[in-house]
Amino acid sequence: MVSKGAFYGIVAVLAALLVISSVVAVAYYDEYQQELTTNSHQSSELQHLISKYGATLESSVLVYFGNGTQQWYNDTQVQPGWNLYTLTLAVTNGNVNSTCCAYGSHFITGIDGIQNQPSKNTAWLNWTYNSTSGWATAQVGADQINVYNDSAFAWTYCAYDPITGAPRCPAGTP
Amino acid sequence: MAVVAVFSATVVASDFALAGFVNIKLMDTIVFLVSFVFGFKQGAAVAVVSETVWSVVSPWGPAGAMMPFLVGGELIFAAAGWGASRVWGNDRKVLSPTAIFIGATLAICAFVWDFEANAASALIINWPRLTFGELVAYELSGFVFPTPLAHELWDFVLGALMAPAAILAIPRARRL
Repeated sequence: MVSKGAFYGIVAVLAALLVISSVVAVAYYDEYQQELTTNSHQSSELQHLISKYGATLESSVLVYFGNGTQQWYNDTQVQPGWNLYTLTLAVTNGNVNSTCCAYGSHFITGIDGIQNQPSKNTAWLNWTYNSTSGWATAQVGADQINVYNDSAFAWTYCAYDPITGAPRCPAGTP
Repeated sequence: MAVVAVFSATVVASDFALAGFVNIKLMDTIVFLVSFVFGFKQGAAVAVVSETVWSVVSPWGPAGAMMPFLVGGELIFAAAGWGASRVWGNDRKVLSPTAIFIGATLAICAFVWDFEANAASALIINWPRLTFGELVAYELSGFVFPTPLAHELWDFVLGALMAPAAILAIPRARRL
């Protein structure tokens, strides 16, 4: 037979557990609703962008061969999620040589039949373009550079400083 | 009178000491145990005096119209302490199931206090046109993690650990 004190105590413990679990449930529900609202907002924003720009994006690539010859691939249609490596493959019809993937990215060893020459400190270097700061050499590999709408990139075949790795040529004119 | 003065001062001092921890206070447990040991009137007096003083001198500013609701909410702990003494008053052991029962009682009181305070906020801000939907919204927003949960868990822990020991120690200290 359970005493009156024990009975009330057990009721109190069960009620407290109910209260605490209810508070956790309400907190979880609130977090869920907030995430739902945020996701709904982002989803509608994405739908708006897709309807505005279409499912494909456009990007431009300059390939500079180092001998005065250069080729622009303007307004190339790209898919969301592409990176500079896939973009380069697309614009050159796959005419790219590379090794994979020492630092989390393909290392480009040749484009359109022009190969890197380590003995002459000459290689394909990639550049990104910013409307305010202009061209800058990329600090990461081609796989790690995401392609956005209206973005511009360049590949230049030129000599580089063997110590600092700094290119000894400009990217070209955008 | 001395009991009310000593424990009210302890409550206010501890409130200042724990000011950086929202909703974590010794007030609830002290009001509960004063009521448990000395009776409802003493516990209620400590609740009214300490909550009134804290509502005025709190570093976050005066509670204003919320003050009567905060004081009223604190009386829940006094009533619970009195009720608990009637049920578990004869069990004076620190390590016993009663400690858990007291902790659970305080956790329930903390929930009722939060619920009442949220309802009071809704009433004051939306006065005189509080709708049921606004009340529910205030209750939901008031129970956003982790503040209320911390309040209930803290009261449970203090109730289970501190209150039984204090309930044992206070009557002995009075005899010294």
